[in-house]
Amino acid sequence: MLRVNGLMKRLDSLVLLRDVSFEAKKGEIICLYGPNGSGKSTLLKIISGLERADGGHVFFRDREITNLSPWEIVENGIAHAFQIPRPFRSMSFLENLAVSCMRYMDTDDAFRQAERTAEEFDVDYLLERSSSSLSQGELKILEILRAYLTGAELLLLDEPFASLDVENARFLKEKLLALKEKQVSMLVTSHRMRIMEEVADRFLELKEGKLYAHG
Amino acid sequence: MKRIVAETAVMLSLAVIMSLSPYYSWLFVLMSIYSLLTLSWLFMRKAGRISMGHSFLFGFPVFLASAGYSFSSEVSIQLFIAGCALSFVIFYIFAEMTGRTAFVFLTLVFSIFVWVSSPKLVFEKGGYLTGGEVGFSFPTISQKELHILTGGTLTLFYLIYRIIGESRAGYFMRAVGDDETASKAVGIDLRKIKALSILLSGMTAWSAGIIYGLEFGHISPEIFSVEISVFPFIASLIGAGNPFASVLSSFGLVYLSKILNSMYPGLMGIVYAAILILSPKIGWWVYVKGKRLDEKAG
Repeated sequence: MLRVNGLMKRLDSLVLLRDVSFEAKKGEIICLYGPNGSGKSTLLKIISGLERADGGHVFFRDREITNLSPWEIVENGIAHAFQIPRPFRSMSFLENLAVSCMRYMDTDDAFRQAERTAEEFDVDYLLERSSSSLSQGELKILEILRAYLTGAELLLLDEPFASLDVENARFLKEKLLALKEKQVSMLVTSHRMRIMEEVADRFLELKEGKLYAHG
Repeated sequence: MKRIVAETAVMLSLAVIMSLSPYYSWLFVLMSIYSLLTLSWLFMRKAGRISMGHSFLFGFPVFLASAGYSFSSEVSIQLFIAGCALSFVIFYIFAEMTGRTAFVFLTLVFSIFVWVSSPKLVFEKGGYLTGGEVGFSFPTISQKELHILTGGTLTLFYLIYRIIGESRAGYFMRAVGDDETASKAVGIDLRKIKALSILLSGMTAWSAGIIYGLEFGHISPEIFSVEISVFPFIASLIGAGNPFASVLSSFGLVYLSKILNSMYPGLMGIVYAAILILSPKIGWWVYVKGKRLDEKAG
């Protein structure tokens, strides 16, 4: 489904990613781990078009998507959820979700779709809340559901469990497994290895920009 | 929807009431011009761009049109269209080139540059020099026609603003205004949304500019003044960013300026300066008040 070949990224003389290659299958959850500064977030940003690659290729469903603009990559079925949630502050939880669907359906249908999804993921009690009043855990859920509602088949989740307490992390883990049941693939960066062992199918380690496969 | 109808009804009632006296009719047209300028500014702010040089978008096409009117109506229309296109392109390039903070200063500096350099446009026509500090003449229409045209234009653009706010484009503009990176991540094409907000802003400002020309029958370089540039910022600050409240605050500010400037010329400038200096505190006060009112309304 996703194929990354020889991806390179440099920042002046510093090499952030060197010859990174891997594949992801449909419905698979891959955990990408490694020390801070190893290039995990950079790799996700390059796949989602938020940063440009200096070399290599990214293919999604056999179509080259290297260095396309972010909105074109979303149209291809890949969406990014940020480590520090970035809600649309002037909007409610419901509006945040609905905006994601508006690209491919009219506004009334988008609101209905957003409501249905919130009910399905047991977060419909948040629908009318202003996004600026949400807790960190609720913002993480918002960030992930918003990415999912773009119609994505592959989610790039940057540290979804960071700064979550045990209860919120467990709640989020259940949501990721629910998404997996829907055959959504995920590339997840995380330092929370214990919880990722319950979720991930495969582990990839990034060290100084180089990729190593494990498990 | 009920709220939009009620707000439109209030504006139309004001238009009818103020048509009863020639002075108030003249004042209504002036108030509406500035309200349109504020609406135009709000269109751009919706997508996250705060312009401090809105006098350029407002004044440039009509300034060129008035210069062209010295030759013929056809030249005037052609220059107006060229002015609209050029002002749109310049603002779009500014929005693409700069971040949010730089956009504020770039538009301000650019509008001041145009204000300072526009008196240099002087040419000879029929043995007389025209342009310079004095400016150019512009055609006029009867006060009654102008009153109807202005009331109709204000209502039209107000409805467009409110209807777009509830549409897909309106949500995308709000999303871009809130967070450009997050907007990209949900698949919003930033370039299209920025272009749309500048186009809508431009259409509103260009209409206001034409009405301004018809009201005064004359366009001078003062149309690019800083006072006009900062007016929509101050009006929307007082109106807490709400479009209806901002239109009403534009009406109030124009009325206040007429009273204060008749007492002491330039007094309104001091009021503007005071509002700008106190703007963070005013903004916070308006935000807290507005939130309490919202909570009371349930």
